[in-house]
Amino acid sequence: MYKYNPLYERYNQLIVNCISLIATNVIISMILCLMQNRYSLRISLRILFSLSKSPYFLSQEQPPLVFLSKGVMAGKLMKCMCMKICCIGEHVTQEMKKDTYEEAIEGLEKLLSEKDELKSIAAAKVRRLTAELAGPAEIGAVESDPVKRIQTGFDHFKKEKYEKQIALYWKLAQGQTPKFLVFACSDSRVCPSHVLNFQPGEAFVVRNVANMVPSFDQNKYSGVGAAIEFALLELKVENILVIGHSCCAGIRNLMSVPDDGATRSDFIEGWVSICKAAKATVQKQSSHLSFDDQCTHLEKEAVNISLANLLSYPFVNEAVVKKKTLLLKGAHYDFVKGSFELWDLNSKTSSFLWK
Amino acid sequence: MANDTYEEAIEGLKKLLSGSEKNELEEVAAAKVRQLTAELAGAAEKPAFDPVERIRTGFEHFKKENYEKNPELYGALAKGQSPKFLVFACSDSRVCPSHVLNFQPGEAFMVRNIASMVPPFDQKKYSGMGAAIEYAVIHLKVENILVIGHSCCGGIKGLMSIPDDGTTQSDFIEEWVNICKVAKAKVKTECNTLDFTEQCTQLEKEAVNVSLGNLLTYPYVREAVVKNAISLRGAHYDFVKGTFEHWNLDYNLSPSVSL
Repeated sequence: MYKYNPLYERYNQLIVNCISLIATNVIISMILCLMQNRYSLRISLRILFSLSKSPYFLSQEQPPLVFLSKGVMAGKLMKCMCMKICCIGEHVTQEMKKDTYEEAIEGLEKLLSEKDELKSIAAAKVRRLTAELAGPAEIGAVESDPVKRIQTGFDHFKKEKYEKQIALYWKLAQGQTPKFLVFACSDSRVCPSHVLNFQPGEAFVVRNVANMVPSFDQNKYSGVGAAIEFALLELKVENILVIGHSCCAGIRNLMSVPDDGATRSDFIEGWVSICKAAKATVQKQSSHLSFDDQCTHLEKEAVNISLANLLSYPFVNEAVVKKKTLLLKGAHYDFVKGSFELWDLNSKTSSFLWK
Repeated sequence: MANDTYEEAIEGLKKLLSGSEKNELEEVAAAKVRQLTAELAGAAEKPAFDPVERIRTGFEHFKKENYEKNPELYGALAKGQSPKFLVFACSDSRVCPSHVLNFQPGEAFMVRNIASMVPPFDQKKYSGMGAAIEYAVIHLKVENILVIGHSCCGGIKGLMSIPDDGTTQSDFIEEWVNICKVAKAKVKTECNTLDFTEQCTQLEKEAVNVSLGNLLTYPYVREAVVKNAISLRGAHYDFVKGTFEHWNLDYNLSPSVSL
């Protein structure tokens, strides 16, 4: 005896749905073939339109599609069509890109076959390019557990450095006599111990956002003031080096602060405005440059403001001007190009540029 | 003795020159001697330290041994940074975390100041520290904040030496290290049996705890700690003994409930 089973109903619906889906796809593919090979988009769309009126297309007789209004279905089909058209477009440009890429590689290989000695440089460059294309990845994530990361880091230091240079560490335990006071950015990519290969004991280092030195102010800037005072009076450093760097977010922020001075952060904009005089210089001198180039210019000009601010500390001023026991130097490290520029206070041009 | 040897050396040179038939050898000798004299004069004046030369060799070493050998790393870094750590360390030349914890470029956003101190939230007095914390927590979304104290810290010694009446002799130093004066009071009451040096060691660690507490005065740090998105860690590096101590501070933070 026949018994109504709602499952049968759904099963039937599913089958019919599948069949109609296949049918729709066949139609779309046909149209696409037509479009690709023979007809313009307009004609193809007209064909689609006329087809949509045919009994095979959105037939009212098809029971599973009853719940779908004609408009919705047509809309879906159009969307599907558009996607396929886009796919064709993309396919074409990809083909073109592939061609250009293959040509480029061919060119490179031709050069390398002529000049074998360039191969190792090319290898490094290609690896770097690959990494750049891949975008920012998990860096240094050898160990994701922070406690283990700290432990392995210290173990490495203890074994490879501390125990191997026990005489150095014994000497350092007696005291420090660094030759440099260095201001560098807090940015994780620019540690002076890496970039200038500073060894323990060589450099007294201050790191803050955008490596800025504010002018003498006991209320607002005791942190930087204390470091300069200690380095000069206690340690008697002979050089102060302020290092700016490429892609500096603090500098970008300064460049982006609206002219009316409205701020959106608790601290950042307030802090970087220490070098707002440099921003005015850049806006005046480099108005024709792009925003990125203006930022690069500002990275260097801000260093000059910091060097000038250093002279507002009486003990710095005395050591530089009167005693001549202290040199002030500015620098810019570019980690995109891999270059380091160095200049003296009061000289606008770089005295050295190492690439 | 030294004079004799020098005379002998000069005599040897003269003998050679008189024996030689060519005048040109004499010319070479003259140039060499002049060069030697200049070198000696320079060495006598001051120890040969040329800061520009030091910076050049340092960067060249980095470029050759590090930058050019890790194109993948520097390629990725050119696109952006995503450090897991915000580190507070002392400006002291002996304690750079890149050495002590072997941090590689890209791993740690770093603040270095006198005595690795974190002041409480204060937009007027401490915008420098505030800017670093704000950027690291809100924009870089670091997962750990690590404050590292260290042995023989000049700043901590300065704090320990401030007289009880509070008179200061420096423009900035004492004012700055006073950020952790609560820790000093604690050490003075709890460790009054210890000698000055031992009290300083104790203060080096207690000051780190005050800094960790101060971090919680920054709303975004507090919020992230409540959500378990950030861990606050304290540490003490002793370069005399070669040890590294690391701890978590116990917080009992819970989201505020309105009653």
